[in-house]
Amino acid sequence: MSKPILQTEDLSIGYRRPRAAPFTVARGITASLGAGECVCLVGPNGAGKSTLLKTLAGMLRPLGGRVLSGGEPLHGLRPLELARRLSVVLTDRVQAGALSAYALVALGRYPYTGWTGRLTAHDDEHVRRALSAVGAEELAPRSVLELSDGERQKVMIARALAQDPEVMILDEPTAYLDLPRRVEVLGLLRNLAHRKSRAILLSTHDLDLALRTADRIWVLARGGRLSCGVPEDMVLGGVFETAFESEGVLFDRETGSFQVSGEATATVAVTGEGAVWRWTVRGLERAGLRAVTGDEAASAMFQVEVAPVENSVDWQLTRDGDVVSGRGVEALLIELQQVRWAVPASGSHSSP
Amino acid sequence: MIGLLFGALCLVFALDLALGSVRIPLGDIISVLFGNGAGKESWEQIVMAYRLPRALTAMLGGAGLSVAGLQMQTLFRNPLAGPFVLGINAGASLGVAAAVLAAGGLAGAGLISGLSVFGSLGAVVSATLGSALVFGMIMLVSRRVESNMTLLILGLMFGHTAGAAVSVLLHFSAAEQIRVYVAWTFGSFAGVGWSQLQVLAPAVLAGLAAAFLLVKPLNALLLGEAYARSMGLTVRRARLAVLAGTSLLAGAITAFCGPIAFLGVAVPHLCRGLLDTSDHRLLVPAVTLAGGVLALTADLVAQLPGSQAVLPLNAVTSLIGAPVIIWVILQRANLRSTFAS
Amino acid sequence: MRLHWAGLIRAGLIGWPLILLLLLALVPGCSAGDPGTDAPAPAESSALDPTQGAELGAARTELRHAGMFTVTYHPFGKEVAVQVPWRPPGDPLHFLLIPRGAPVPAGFAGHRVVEVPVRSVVALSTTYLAHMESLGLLDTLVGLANFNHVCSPAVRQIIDQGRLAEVGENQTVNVELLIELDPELVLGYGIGVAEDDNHPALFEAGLDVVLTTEFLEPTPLARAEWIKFIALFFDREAEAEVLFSRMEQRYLELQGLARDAGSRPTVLLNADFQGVWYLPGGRSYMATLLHDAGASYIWDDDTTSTTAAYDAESVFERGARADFWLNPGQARSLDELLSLDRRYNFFDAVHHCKVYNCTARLGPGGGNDIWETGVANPHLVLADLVRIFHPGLLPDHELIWYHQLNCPEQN
Repeated sequence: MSKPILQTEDLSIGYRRPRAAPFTVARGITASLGAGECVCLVGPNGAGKSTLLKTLAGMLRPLGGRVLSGGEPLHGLRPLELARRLSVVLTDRVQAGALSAYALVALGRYPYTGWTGRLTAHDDEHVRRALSAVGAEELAPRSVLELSDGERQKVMIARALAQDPEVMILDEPTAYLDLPRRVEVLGLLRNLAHRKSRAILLSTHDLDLALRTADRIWVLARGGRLSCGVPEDMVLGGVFETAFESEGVLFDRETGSFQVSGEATATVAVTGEGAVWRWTVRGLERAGLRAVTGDEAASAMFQVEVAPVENSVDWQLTRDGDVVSGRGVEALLIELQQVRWAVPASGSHSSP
Repeated sequence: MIGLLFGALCLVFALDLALGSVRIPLGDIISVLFGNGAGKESWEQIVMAYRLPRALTAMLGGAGLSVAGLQMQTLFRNPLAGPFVLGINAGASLGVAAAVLAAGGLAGAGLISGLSVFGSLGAVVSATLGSALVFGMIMLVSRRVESNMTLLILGLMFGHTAGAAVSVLLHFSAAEQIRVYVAWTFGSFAGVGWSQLQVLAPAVLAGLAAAFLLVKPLNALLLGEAYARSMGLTVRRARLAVLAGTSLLAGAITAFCGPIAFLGVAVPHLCRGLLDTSDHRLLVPAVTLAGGVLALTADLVAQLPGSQAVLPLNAVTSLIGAPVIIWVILQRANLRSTFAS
Repeated sequence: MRLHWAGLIRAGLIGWPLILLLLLALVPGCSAGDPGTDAPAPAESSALDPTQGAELGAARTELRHAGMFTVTYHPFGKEVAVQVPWRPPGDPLHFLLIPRGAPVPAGFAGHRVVEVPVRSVVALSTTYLAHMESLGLLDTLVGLANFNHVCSPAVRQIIDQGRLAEVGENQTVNVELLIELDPELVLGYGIGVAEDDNHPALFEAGLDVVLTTEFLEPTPLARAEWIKFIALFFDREAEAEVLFSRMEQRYLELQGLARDAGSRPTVLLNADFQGVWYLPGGRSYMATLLHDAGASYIWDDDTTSTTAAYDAESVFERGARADFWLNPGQARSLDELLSLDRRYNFFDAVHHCKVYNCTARLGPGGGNDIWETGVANPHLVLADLVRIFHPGLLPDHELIWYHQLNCPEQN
C-alpha cells in the first residue's frame, strides 16, 4: 500500500438525534486509504456504507475517534481547505437546472476561484483536463438537462476531479447505470486513481465488478465491522459469507458471486467445458437447481452433457436412463421443469 | 440579451416619465430633466416630484423583488418560491392591518378613519415593523435548522400564522377599515416620494449588491446543499446572507409599495427561459434588468396614460406578467430548463 | 393565509372595480357619507313626549329632497319603500307600518310589517342618533352597534348608565344578543356586499329590521331629510317636518348668501394614499356642500356622485393651485401633514395655510361628531364651510367641526 492520505482511528459513525442518544452505526473502524488506490466499499444494505462515506467526506461528524487527512484531523479543516483535499460524488441525481456540462464541471473549481467564480486560464485548463479524463470533452457545450444518466455521471465525476482533490469519495456512482456503463465508470475511476495518484473510495452494490476492478475492498458487515484487503484475500478469507449472511443469498467462493439461496429441489451433474458449461450452470442455478461436480456428480439426479455449437449450446439430458437432447439453455430448463415434477424434493441444502 | 434588456429598461423608464395622466409635451419633459424649466411650473413639479421618483421606485421595486425571488428559488430549489415564501409579506400585512385598525380605533367612526387617516407613512412604518418581526423569527430559527426544506415549511407556517392574525383582525374591524387594508394590498409604486426614496433606494441597492456578491455561492447551491458544502461553501453563512438580503429587499419594497404579487416569482423564470441558463452570474444582472422592465411596464399600464383613473398595480402585474411568462415557457420545448430544480 | 391571500388577490384581480365603487362610501375625511355617525344637536331638541304621538295620518310626510325612500299613506297604515343599492332602481324594499295591534291587511302578507309607534330600537349606525335625539326619542334606544363611535353627550350618558347593549357591527354583529334584546325595530343599513352586510342574518333571525340608505343621498339636505324616515316609525311626522324645515330654511339662506359672495375659491379634498387619491365625484354629497358654500370643487366638472381613484399627478395638476384644502387625512398640523409627504409643499393651500380638517370634535371613543350631529344638521356644516371660504359673510360664526391646521411659521 502506498502512503496513506486518509486514515481513520477508532472511528465511530452514526447519527446524532435531538433529545435522544446518538444512533451508532459502526464503531472501532480503523482503516486507511492510500494515494493511487481505488477502493470499493461493499456491504449489505443498512450496514452504514453511506454513513461511513459521509463521515470520511467530512459531511457528518464522527461519534468517536477521528479521521485524519495528511495527518491532520479532517473535521477540523476549514471548508475551503477540505474542499481542496477531498471531493465527492453523491448518490442523488443532480438537478442543477440549465447549465452546460462545462459550467457544471467548472463549479468544481469553486475552492480556487475568486468571489465571482470567474475561471482563470489555469482553472479552465483543469476543467478541460477533467472532462477529457472522463472522456466527456464532446459533452462540454451540451446542457446537463439533455445528458443521459451515464453521461451525467461522467460529468459529475469530472466535476469532482476538477476540484483537484487528493481523495475522491463516490457514493454508488454506478447506481443508475446499465452494465456496460458500470464497467466503463469503474474502469475510469481505477484509471484516475492509478494515473493521477488520487485515492478513490466508492461504494457499490456490484460485488462482481468490485472484485474485478478494485485495488482493495472494504467490506462493511451488518453490525458495523469493517474488513479491508485486496479482493482475492477477502474472498478466500470468507469475509463475504460473514458479511452478507442472512441476506437470503449465498456467496459462491468459487465464482466470487452470489447465488439465490432458494430451496434447491434437484441436483444436476453438468459435464462439458468453457463458456457453454459455465452459462449452463448459471442457468440451472437460476432455475433453482443445484449443479454438482466431482464426487457428488455420481449421485446427482440428472446428468447433463453440454457441447458448444455455433452461438449456442447442444445438450443431452439423462435421467434414470432416459435421454433427451436439444439446443439452447431455455429448452433445457423447460425440459427439466417438466421432468422435475416427477422427482421428489431432495431436501434442504447447506451452503456450498 | 443583457444589452437588449438594458435597452428595454431605458425605453420603458423613458416612457414611464413621458406618459401619465397629465399630458406633458415630450420637449418639456426633456427640458425639465436637464434642469431647464417647463412650459408650466406644475409640469416641472409633476415630472420631478411625481414621475421621476415613481419610475425609480418601480425600477428598484421590480428589480429588488425579482432578484429576491431568484435567490429564494435557488436557495429552496423550488420553482414556486418567491420573495415572500418566508412570510415577509404576511408580516408586513399584519403590521398594516394592525395599524389600520389602530388608526381606525383612534380616529373612530365612519369614513373619517379612511385611507388618509392612516396615510402612506403609517403603512411604511407598520409594514416595516411587521416584516422585521417575521424576519427576526426566520433568522432565529434558521440558526437552529439544518435543512432548507424545514426552513421553507417554517416560513410557510409564519406566513399562515400572520395571515390568520390578519383575518382575525379584519373580522373584527369595520368595513371601511377593511377597505383601507384592501387598498394597501393593491400595491403601488406611486406612494414613494424623494424622502421615502432616501430610505428605499439604499435598502434595495444594498439588497441587490448582496445578490451580486452571492452569485458564486448561489451557483454552488444549484447542485444542492450537500455538494455546495463539499465544494467549500459554508452553507449556513451563505443561507444567512441570502435570507438577510432577500428579507431586506422584500421587506423594504413591501413596506413602501405594498405586497406586489407575481413579479418576484415570474421574472426569474422569464430570464431562465430567455437566457437558457441557470448561471447566476448571468441571471442576477438579467433578472435585475427584467424585473425593472416588467415593473415599469406594469406601472405604465396601471396609470392608464391619458386618463385620470388608475388601476390597482397588483392586478396589472399579474395581467401583463402572466401571458409573458406563459409565452416564454411554451416557447421552450424543455420545460425543465425554466425551473431551478 | 394562503386562502385569505388568494381572496384578496382575487379581489384585486376581479373585484377591484367593485371595490373602487365601494370606496365611494369611504371618502376619507369629512366628505361623503356613510352610515357613520350622528348625534343630536341639543339646541334643536324639541323633546316632545313620545307617548303623545301625533295621531296617525294627522301629519303626512312630504319629501322635498330625499330620493332613496318614499312613503305612501293607506287607510290601514304607511307603506315605506327604500331603494337599496343591490336592487335595480324602481324595485325598492317595502315596509308596512301599521298601528299597534291592527291586523295585517290583505294583500300585504309578504311585506315586512312593523307595528308603530315602536317602543324599543337598536340603532346599528350612529347616523340615526341625532335624529332620535332631536325628536326626543332616545328613551326608546336599547342597543347600539359600537359605543366607541358615539359622540353625543346625551347618548354617552345613557351608555354610561348601562342602559344600552353593544351588539357589534357588520359581520361581528351578535345576533343572539339582538334576539335576546328583542327590539321592536332594528335600524340597519346594507351596501350590497356580502362580506360587510349583516342584514340577511338579521332578517333570517326574524328581527324587525328596517334598512336605511341615507348615505346614498347625494345632497346634504336629502340626507338630513331622513329625520322624517325615522319619525315615521314613531308617528312623529309633524315634529320632523318642523325640525327639518327650520334646517332647510337656514341652509338655503346660507346657500344664497354664498352664491352672491362674488368669489368662488377652489377647493381640494382628501389626501394621497400610496400615490392614489380617492376623491368624491362632482355630484357627490361633499361636492354639493362645497358648491353650496360658494366654493368650486376642483372636480366640479365630474358628473358622478361616487368616489373614484385618481392618479396623484392628475390631482396635483388640478389641485396644486387650489385656494383651499379640506380634510387632508388625520393630520392636525401642517408639519405633520408635510411629514407624510414632502410633495404637499407644492400645494398653494399649504403655502397659504389654508388647510382645514373636520376633526375638531371627536368623541371620547374617537368617533367624529360631524358624522353624528353634522350630517343631521347640514345648515351648521354649511355655516362652517361658508365661514372658511367667505369669512366676511359670517363674521360671528365660530367653526364647529372644522379647524385650521396650524401653521408653524406664517409664510
